[in-house]
Amino acid sequence: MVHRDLFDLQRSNRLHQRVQRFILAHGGDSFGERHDRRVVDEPADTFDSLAIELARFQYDCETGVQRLYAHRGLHPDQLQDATQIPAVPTDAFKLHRVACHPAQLDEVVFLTSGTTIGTRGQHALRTTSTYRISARSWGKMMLFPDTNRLHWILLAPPYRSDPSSSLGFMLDDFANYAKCAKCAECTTKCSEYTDVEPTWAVASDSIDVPRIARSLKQAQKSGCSVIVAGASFAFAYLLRELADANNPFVGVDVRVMITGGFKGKTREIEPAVWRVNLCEALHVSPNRIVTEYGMTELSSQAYDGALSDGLDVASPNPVLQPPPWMRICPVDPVTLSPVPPGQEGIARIVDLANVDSAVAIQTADRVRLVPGGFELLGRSPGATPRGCSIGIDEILSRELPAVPVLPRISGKKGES
Amino acid sequence: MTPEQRQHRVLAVANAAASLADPSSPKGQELRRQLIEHGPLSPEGVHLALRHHIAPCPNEMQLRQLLKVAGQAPYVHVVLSGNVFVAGVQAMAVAVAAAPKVTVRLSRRDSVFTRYLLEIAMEESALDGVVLRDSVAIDTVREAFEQGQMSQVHLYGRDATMVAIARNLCDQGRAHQMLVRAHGAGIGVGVVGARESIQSAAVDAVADIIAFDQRGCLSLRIVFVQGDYRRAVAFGKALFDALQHASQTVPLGTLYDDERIERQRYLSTCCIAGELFYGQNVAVSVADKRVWLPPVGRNVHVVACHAGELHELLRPLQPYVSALGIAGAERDAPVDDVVGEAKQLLPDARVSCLGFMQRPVLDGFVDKRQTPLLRPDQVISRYSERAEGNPQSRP
Repeated sequence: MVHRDLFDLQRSNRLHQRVQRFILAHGGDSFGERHDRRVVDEPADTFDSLAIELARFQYDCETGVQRLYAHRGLHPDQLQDATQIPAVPTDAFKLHRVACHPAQLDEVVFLTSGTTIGTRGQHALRTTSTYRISARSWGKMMLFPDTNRLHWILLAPPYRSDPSSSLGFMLDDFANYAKCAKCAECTTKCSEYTDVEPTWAVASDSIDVPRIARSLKQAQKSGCSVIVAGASFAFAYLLRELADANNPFVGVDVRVMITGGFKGKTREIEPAVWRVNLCEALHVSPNRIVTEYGMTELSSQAYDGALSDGLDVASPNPVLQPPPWMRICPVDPVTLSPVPPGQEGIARIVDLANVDSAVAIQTADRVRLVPGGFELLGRSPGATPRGCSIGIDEILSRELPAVPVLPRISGKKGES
Repeated sequence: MTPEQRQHRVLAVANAAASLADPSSPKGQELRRQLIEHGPLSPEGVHLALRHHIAPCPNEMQLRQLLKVAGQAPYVHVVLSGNVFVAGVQAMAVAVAAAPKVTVRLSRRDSVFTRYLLEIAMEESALDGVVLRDSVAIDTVREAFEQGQMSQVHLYGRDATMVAIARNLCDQGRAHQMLVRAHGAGIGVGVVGARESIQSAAVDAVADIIAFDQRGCLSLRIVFVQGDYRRAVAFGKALFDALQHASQTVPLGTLYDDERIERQRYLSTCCIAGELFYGQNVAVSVADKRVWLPPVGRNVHVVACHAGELHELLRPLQPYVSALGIAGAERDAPVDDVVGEAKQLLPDARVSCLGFMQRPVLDGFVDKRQTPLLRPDQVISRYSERAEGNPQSRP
C-alpha cells in the first residue's frame, strides 16, 4: 500500500531528470524530447551515486522494500555502492505492487504473463519518459545504428489492443520513432512513403502471413530497411507457417529482433539450432539477428552485438550488452552475494531507469559475465520436486501464453 | 482372485506395515537405521513418520472401499516415487488387491521401506506373486506384455515422470496392452473458518507440515484464513511459534541445494509482499488475497480471504490439491463459509481435520483425485500440458 503523502512527486521528478541526464551523458539521445535545462546542462551523477539515491527514494516511499532491508539487516544510509542495494525479486511483482507512487498516478501498468496461480506481475510507471529515452537510446545503438528509416513488421497484436504489454509498448515506440515518415532528413526523398505504418502481424490469434507478404512488398518499393521483431514463440509460429506458404522473405533484406526464450521443457529449442532455423526461414545471415534481453520488471534492455558491431561482421557477437545505465551482477542463489569473476550466478540487475519502482531487481536467470557483457545461460530451475510434492516453478511454468495467444494455427502442421 | 484372497493380500501388507511401525521389532529397528542413514529426514523425522504416518490396518468398510477402488487385472506394475516412503503401504495394498502378479519398481530413495514391507508380507503372511525391481529402466514390465493380457501400470510421481514413462510404453509398441493409473504431484491446503480458534488451528496444522518435511502430496503448504488480514497475520504468527517449538522436537532434515535456493527466493519475495515470520528453518508468509506456493521444508503461506473469495483464489490450484485440511471438527459447513466453499471446490481432495492430513487410512489410493485408467497416449496428453507448460516470453 502506497500512501499518497509518502510519495514525493518533486523528488521523483528530479530523479527522473538525473537519470535522463545520465543516459544522455552516456551516449543516449533525447530524440527531440523537450528537457528542462538542468537535464542537459548539469553534470551527470556517477552510476553508484545515482543508484543509491534511487534506492533511498524507494525506501522512503513504502514500496515494501523496507522489509527487504530489515530482512538483510541493512539501512539505506549504509549503502556505499550499487551492489549493496537489496534486490527485489521479480516474483515480488506478482504478489505486490512495487511502486513509489499511488495507483492514481499510473501512466501505464505493464503486466507479466498470466499464470495458472492466478497472478500477473505488474510494473507500474508514473511516467514513460525515462523508459522511452532508455529504450530508444540503446535500441538505436544496438538495433538500427545505421538508419532511422525502418519498415517494422511486428509479430505481436497491435499495442493498442494490449496496452499492458511492455514489449508491445517498446516496439510501438520504436516503430513510431524510427520510421520513414518520422525522418526529417529524408522527408522529401521519402514523401511518397510517409504513410508506411508498422505492420502488426498478429490478428485473430494467428500470424497473418499474407499481410506480412504485402508489407514486405511495400517495403521493397520504399527502399526502407525491414526489421521483423517479436517474441521467440511468435517467430516459432511464423516459421511453422512459412514452411507451407510461399516464403515472402526470399530476396528481401531484413534484420530481426527476437526476445524471450521458451520456458517449456520439451519445447526448449537449442539456441544455435533456433538461430540456424531462423536464418534459413527468413533468408538472413546470422549477423542480422539481434537478441534482446528484457523483462516487464525492467525499464532498460540488453542486446547482443550482432548489428552494433558492424553490419558486415561475419560472425555475430553472442554476448549480451547492457546499456551504461544498467548493470548485471551474477550472484550466488543462496547467499545472494556476487560470485567471483567468470563464474555463473543468477542475474541481479541494477537499472537506473526504474525510478519509481525498484532500482535493483533479482531475477532467476543464470548468467556469466564475459568481456563486453554477459552470457545468458538459462533460467535457474526451481527446486526439483521430490516425492510427490510440487514446486512453485512447476506451477508458474504453466503460465498462460502471453500475448499473442497463437494456439489456433492450423493443426495440420503437427503439434510441436 | 476371490474376495477372500484379495482381502488376505491386503491384510498381509497392512500387517507388515504395522510390524515396521513397531520400533521394537528387529525389522523396524533396521529400517529406522537405514532411513536415518539415507536421509533427507532427520532421525526424529524418520521416527515420527514410522510412528504416526503409517496407515493402520483397515476396518471392514475401508477394506471394502479399497477392493472396490483397486479393481482387478492380471498384472499390475507399480512405479513408486521417493521420500514419502510410507505411501508405499497404500500403493502396495491396492496393487496386490488388484492383481495376483505385481511388479514393483522401486525408486532408489524409496527402496528400503517398500522392500522391507514386502519381505515381511511374504515371509509372515505368505504374500505371493510380487517381484521387486531395482532397475530404473521402464522396460521392467516387458515380461507381462508377452502374456498378451491387458495390464495396469500404477504410476506415482511428478507429472513429467508420468509423461516420460507413458512415452516409453508407447515407444515399446505395447501401448494397446496397457492401462495406466497416473498419480501426479500434489499439495495440501488448509482452511480456517471464521469461528475457529486461531491458536488451536495453528497447533493442529504443525503435524501436517513437519511430517516428511512437506515433500508429500498431502503436505500442508498453503492455509486460507477466513477474515481480515489482521486475523491471518495472527494465525501466521501462532503457526510460526508452533512450528518453531515443534522443530525443537522434530528438527528439519537436510534440504537439497535447489530447495535452499528456492527458500531464499521465497523469503525475499514474501517479505516484500506482506508479513513474514522466519527463523533459520521455519518461515510463514502472510498475504492478503494473494496465493503463493512456498518451497518444501517448514514453509507455509497464509492467505487472508472472505467467504466467496476462495473460488477465485483456489481455482488455479484446483488440479494440484490432493488434500484439504479443515480447522476444528470436520463438519457440514454452509457454502457461504470458506470451509464449505473449499469442500465444494475440491470434491476429489482427501478431506480431514488439520493435524490428520498426512494420516490417510488404508482405503485405496492415497491421492483421491480422479485417476481413471488411461491408455498411455491419454496419459501423455493429459499430463504433458501440465508438465511442460506453454512457451512463454515477455508480453
